[in-house]
Amino acid sequence: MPLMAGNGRATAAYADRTVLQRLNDRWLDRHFFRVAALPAFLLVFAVTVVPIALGLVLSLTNYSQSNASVDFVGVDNFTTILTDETVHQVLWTTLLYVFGAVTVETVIGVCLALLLARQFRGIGLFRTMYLVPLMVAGVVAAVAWKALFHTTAGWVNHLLGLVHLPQPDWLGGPATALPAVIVADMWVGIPVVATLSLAGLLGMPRDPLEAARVDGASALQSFRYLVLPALRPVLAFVILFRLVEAFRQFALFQIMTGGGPGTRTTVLNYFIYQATFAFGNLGYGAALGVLLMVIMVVPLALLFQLSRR
Amino acid sequence: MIRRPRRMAAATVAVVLGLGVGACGGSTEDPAGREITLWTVHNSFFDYVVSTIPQFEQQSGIKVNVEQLPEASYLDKLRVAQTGKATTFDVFEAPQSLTAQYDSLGGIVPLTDFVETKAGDLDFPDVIDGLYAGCNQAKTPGTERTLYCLPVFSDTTMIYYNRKMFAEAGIAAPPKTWSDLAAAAVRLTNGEQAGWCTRAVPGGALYTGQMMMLYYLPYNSDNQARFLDSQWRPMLTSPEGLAFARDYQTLMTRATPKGIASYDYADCMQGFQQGKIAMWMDASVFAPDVLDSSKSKVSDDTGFTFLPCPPTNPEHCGLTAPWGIFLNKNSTKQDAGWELIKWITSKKVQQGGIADKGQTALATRTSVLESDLFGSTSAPKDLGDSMKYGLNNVFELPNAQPYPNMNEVEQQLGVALSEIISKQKSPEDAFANAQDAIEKILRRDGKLS
Repeated sequence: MPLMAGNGRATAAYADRTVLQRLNDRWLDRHFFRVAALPAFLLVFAVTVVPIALGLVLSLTNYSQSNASVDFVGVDNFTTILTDETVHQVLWTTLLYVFGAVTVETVIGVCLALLLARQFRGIGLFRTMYLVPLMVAGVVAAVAWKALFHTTAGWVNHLLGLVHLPQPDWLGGPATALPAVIVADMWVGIPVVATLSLAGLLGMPRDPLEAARVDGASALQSFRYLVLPALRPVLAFVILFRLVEAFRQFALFQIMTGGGPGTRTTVLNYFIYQATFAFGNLGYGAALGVLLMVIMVVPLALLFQLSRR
Repeated sequence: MIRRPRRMAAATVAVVLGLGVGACGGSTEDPAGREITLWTVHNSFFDYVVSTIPQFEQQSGIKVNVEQLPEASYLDKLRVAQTGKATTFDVFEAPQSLTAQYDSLGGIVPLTDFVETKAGDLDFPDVIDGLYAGCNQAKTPGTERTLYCLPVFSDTTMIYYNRKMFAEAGIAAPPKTWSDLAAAAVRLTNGEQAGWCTRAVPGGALYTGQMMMLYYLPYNSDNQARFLDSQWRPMLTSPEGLAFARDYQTLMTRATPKGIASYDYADCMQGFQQGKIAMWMDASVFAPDVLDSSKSKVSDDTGFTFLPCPPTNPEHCGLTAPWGIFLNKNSTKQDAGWELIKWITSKKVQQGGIADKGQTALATRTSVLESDLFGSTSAPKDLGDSMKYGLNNVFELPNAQPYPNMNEVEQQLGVALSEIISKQKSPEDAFANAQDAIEKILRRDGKLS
């Protein structure tokens, strides 16, 4: 029998409960959602906030595999980061990759979504095909793209050769290595953007578009003044998502180029891996991790602001 | 019926006795009946060794769980496990160059006592001493060395060459000096084939680049590394270092396959096997793969040679970087692990591997390398002769101090070599940058003032 009636008054069953039981019931009633969310909150706290805090502490030490003792060194690691030219190069490469990849993927992805939003025979199959790259493991994709871009035995250069176009050393050329990795990233990025944008497009009300068409608006005008503003929240999320994925990218760089030639494709995430796991400089690696976190926060905060407008 | 206090006392005594026996288990354990775990990587010669494990289990009564991992991620997993003092493995295979690092992590057991008191049928003097130099570390130069591993395969500098291409180009014999080699490589390069190939990706270039560097830098047993002098100063911007850098760029840009900058050993090997590369310099361990007619189109035309040591380094020009087999310090079954190590490095396994599968890389013993096994199609005489030359002229630094961060130092050289190959920088600039970067690391670690 319920303790409280629909009008909020206590029932007879409530009247039978002790004072302590009644206090417990009211407390639980007020705090039910907090209590229900507590386990999930604690889990998320344990696996995110705690490691971040530990990482921050680690970044202030000289902890490395070769140090017998671990000493607090303050901001020395961060000073090294600011003055190290290799880090500057790595940061530049990272920004080039992230903004280059995300921009291209967003533009092409939205265009693809506009195409997929049309109704024609076979569109269902088409839409499904574009999800295939999302089902392939990142490492597998990286190995496949490395083979595709092989200078003498890869399909890309073979096809270019058939049409008498130049066949560069994609993964070994300083100017072509990063674009090659971006192309490999686009193979997954474009379908992701297209799929999410398509969902936004299909959820849009059709009446304003019909009215604009009747009033003589061109396709471009409809897109600019109706579709784009309506898609803005979706686009903000999509760009945010792809930015995070781009900053996190590791497999493509490790497998396709190993960070080379030289350090041309060494991005910050890969550099952190080298410092921490290859060289065992955990304190310095943690400091680089803090830097990555700060760099990621800035565009994410901007996007949140833009999406609210 | 025993009263409760007495029952508890009896239980306590039993627990204490049990713990006491357990604590003594490291030195008095009976290996038979134990179950141990071996961590290793996938490669053709170690796959053969793994195939002999059932025989070992039958003979010793020790059950072995083998975990074979891809090489690309193996070392990272091993480092993390060592740092975490993992007990999930007992015996593991790893590069000997990382011995100092593993020792600093407290992850490996000295094998000296095992060799001296539990040798059994090991026959340690038969192991080629040039192959376990990396296993033998002294805490400080001049102090007694401690053996931490045994070599698990034989590895030295080797030049694989295509005899047919040489004959067609009118070159009578393999080159004997670097200038002859460079000239031959350029002569053998045309639209259909490249005269020369060696690893060029940042990590790979480091290894094969140093193979060549040993022919340029003067040898000194007091040096701290292949390119660090006795005072820890890098020799990259020395006249010899820069001469190497210039010749390296010339060879790697004029006589190599297109796209060399992204080539690793697998790419060079594939090109050689397909008859598109005339000379390939790399480790000797790949000989079985180029002699296997099911993998190589040029198995019948393949020759093996070793470039003789130069006057500046007459006896130490053979770069060997074999892996060793180690005992995990955190293992509770070290005696059983030692029995497995003896099996893996035994003459029987090596002879079987060479005779049955042509796995010449398994030959880490003098008696095996000098046996009649070398003289067949799968183990040609010139292969054995080249391996012997390289292993008899191994680059050793008896007075080098263990340095756990050598990985990081060598990475700078690897990057410089990659920049030279891809022409991002001139040889002089690339080596000057690497010199600065290495000096910074060594100063940070207190090796350079």
